[in-house]
Amino acid sequence: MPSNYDRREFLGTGLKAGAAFTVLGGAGAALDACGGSSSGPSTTLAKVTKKKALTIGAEGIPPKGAKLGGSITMGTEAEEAGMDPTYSHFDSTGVLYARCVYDPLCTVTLAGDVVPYLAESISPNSTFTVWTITIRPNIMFHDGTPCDGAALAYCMNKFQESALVNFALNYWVKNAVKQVGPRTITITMNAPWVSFPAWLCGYIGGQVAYMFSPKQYERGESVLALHPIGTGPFMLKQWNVGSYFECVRNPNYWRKDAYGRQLPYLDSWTYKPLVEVQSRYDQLASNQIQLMHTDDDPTIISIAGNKSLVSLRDDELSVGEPDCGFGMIQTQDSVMKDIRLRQALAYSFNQVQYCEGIGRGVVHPTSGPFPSPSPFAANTGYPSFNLAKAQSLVKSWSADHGGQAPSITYTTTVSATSQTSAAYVQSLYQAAGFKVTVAQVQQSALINDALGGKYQVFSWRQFANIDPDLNYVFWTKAAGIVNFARNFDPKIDAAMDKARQTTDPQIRKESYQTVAERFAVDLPYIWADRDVWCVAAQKGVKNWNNPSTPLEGGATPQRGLTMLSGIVFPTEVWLGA
Amino acid sequence: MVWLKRLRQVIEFVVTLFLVTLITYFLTSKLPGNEAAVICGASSHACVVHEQAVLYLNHPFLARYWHWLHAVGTGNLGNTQAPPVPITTMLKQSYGVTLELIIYSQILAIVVAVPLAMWGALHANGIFDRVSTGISFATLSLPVFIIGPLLVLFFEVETPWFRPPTIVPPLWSSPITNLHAFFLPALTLALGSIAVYQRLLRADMIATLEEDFIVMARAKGLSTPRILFRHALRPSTFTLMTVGGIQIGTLITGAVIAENVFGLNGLGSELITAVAKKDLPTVQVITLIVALVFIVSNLGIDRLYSVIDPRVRRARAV
Repeated sequence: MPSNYDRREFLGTGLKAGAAFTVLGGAGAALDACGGSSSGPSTTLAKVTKKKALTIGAEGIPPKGAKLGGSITMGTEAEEAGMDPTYSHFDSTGVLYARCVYDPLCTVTLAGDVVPYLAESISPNSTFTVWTITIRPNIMFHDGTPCDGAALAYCMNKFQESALVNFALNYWVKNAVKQVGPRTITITMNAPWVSFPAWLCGYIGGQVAYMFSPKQYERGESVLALHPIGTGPFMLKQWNVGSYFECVRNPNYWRKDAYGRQLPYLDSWTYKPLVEVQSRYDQLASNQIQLMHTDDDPTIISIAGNKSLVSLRDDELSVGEPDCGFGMIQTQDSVMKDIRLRQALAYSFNQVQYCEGIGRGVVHPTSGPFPSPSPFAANTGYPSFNLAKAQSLVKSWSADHGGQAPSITYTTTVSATSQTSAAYVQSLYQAAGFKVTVAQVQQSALINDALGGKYQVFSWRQFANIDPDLNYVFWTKAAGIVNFARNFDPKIDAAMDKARQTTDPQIRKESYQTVAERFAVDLPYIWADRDVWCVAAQKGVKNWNNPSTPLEGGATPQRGLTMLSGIVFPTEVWLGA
Repeated sequence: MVWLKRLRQVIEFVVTLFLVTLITYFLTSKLPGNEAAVICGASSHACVVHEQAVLYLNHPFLARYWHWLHAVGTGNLGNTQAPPVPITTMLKQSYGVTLELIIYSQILAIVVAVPLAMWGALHANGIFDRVSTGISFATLSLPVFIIGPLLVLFFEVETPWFRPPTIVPPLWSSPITNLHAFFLPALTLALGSIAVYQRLLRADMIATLEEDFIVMARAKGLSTPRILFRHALRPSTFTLMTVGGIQIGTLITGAVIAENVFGLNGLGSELITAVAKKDLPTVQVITLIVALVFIVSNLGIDRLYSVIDPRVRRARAV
């Protein structure tokens, strides 16, 4: 399984590196052998159907008269580097934490529509160059200060000033934010940004969605990072970094359910970072924690075989694009800039075998960032496995370079899974004629090297989002070094801008298909698999896969999207029998 | 001239401490990566320049070392990286976990190893002795990262006997819950120590039981338990104490693994995280603490010899 690039790591421009993790492989391997359920090669897992994706963890709100309260602890894959949305970077775990203490301005429905959440309304002008956001009335931060137009303007200005978030807002004009009413602001763009609301849903990359207390922010740079104050359903009680992130119910939360009961249902919600995935699974199996997420394939198999747990994989998504695993190439590197070598890597990589052997059949092959059944999926022309072709490309390169074989370094993180995967990938590339050195580095070093372009081929996982526009910063020239692969293709830039600026779904579709096709030509990514996340829960945990839109303001409730990238929302979770 | 000996010991301690800090700083400063770049990220040059100045990174090694030593000596340990928690806060939150784990494991080891060793020595080469020897070798051959997950599987996952709470309360607020939660991690560390201590103590006890003063004690009609505990145990414990002191290093290594397996947030986990993040200030401080603990505990054990054996006390007084 390619090691993850956690998005939070990327957003390391000018910032502290995010937390990395080291897995002591022997422990997991030993227990894996003893557990017996996942030690072999591929396992046939029950397919996740659309019906399953909609019904698992979707019990609905508690019946009238049900006893509410209780506590839940969820095991996460890593600790967060901080909870200040203006400079801490939120990956899957970060979004989990954020959904506890913050509220996003918008949310996504099951049908893929972006609707207001903390915002009362969000609307564009006729050219989509000015967006007007109105916050709901009478919303208070946990510290008792009002979340009003002034706070909204404050937060948005801080985002624009932030070295971390600023590059994502490249369409904003200078001093884009203006408060125009007690609860209303406008944001002015230099070009139409039709998909801007997707950035306000709080998913990975969209942390501009989260409104934080200006008073807390003013206390100092690291104060909000360690003591986040938002409007969310839970308030931070204690954060013992590396140990637990404990939150208690917000007694003044602004949302109620259909029976008029105030949300959230639980008394407390705690996240427990358990980097060692086997430990995370063991704690779930022994009910020390009640929920967990993972994308580790052997653990997903173990979870599937454990009848005492309820679990859901995000194979089937109601909306959004999944994470993909791939080898990321530094296309400006002196060796890798030769397209023949990138083509050779692509031809030499047997995705089917990789997904079966390394991915244990859990993950699926993909030839681009929009694997089927994405609405943007299409035949990209990505090279299929062809070892002979790969070898001839390498020979061609060698002939131009004095007969020597191309020498590359394949870099991955330090974990047992990464080691296994890297060894396999090395063998594939060597079969094509490359000389491959495997380097293992810590996650934070990986990100800094990616930002600095100091690599040749990285093992990477990325690109999950609710809208492809959120990957704008990674695929275009606009974000500079954040385009880690340094693949500056004007056709990709044009296609991404076109997709961003249009309301026509067909043009969007064609634009993103163009992007995927250009990836198949430029080959900055050697696609490995469509990654799969799994959330597993004790049977008593209810409604963790069923977020809904607010009823406040008389809105008709709608169901939110199903689990994506291991993210659940704590607001409407309850404990039952 | 006792005071002269004491003075020499103090000087030796200070010099050792100084050398430990120097070596610690030297080795950690050689870790790959640019500390300022890690703090600032790769692209913010102004930040990198600032951090280099703050951390004296452009100065010669000795100047950097002196600056660091001064900071550590005045309690200015700096912050961890991402998130920026004061290192002193991190230490307060985590040192207790590791300390408790190590002490608990050693108490368990001694409570189990001493009776086993005594009985084995008393009935050397008997059935019990051979069986316990075999089991000792078996546990000695299993590393911590094997034992830990096995214990988790049998005693937490498959059975509820040792399932700890999600957040383990401190020892002083809820001792029973705390000790219950720490039992399996401590046992994981203790199993290897039990084997070592049992073997060593058994061998020493066998030799001690052949001494003349033991024969004299038997001739006086003293009971076997009294002979074992009152007369034979003390002189047999020197090797045990020496090995115990050396074991500190093994225990700390084992604690790192045990903390990861059992999800405890002690110094071991913090060290692993700090290394992974290239959080050099944290790595330096934790490494220094570990080294200091090692030195101080071995010095303490050295002093303990005098307490346990009057002959050593008298010899040192001469």
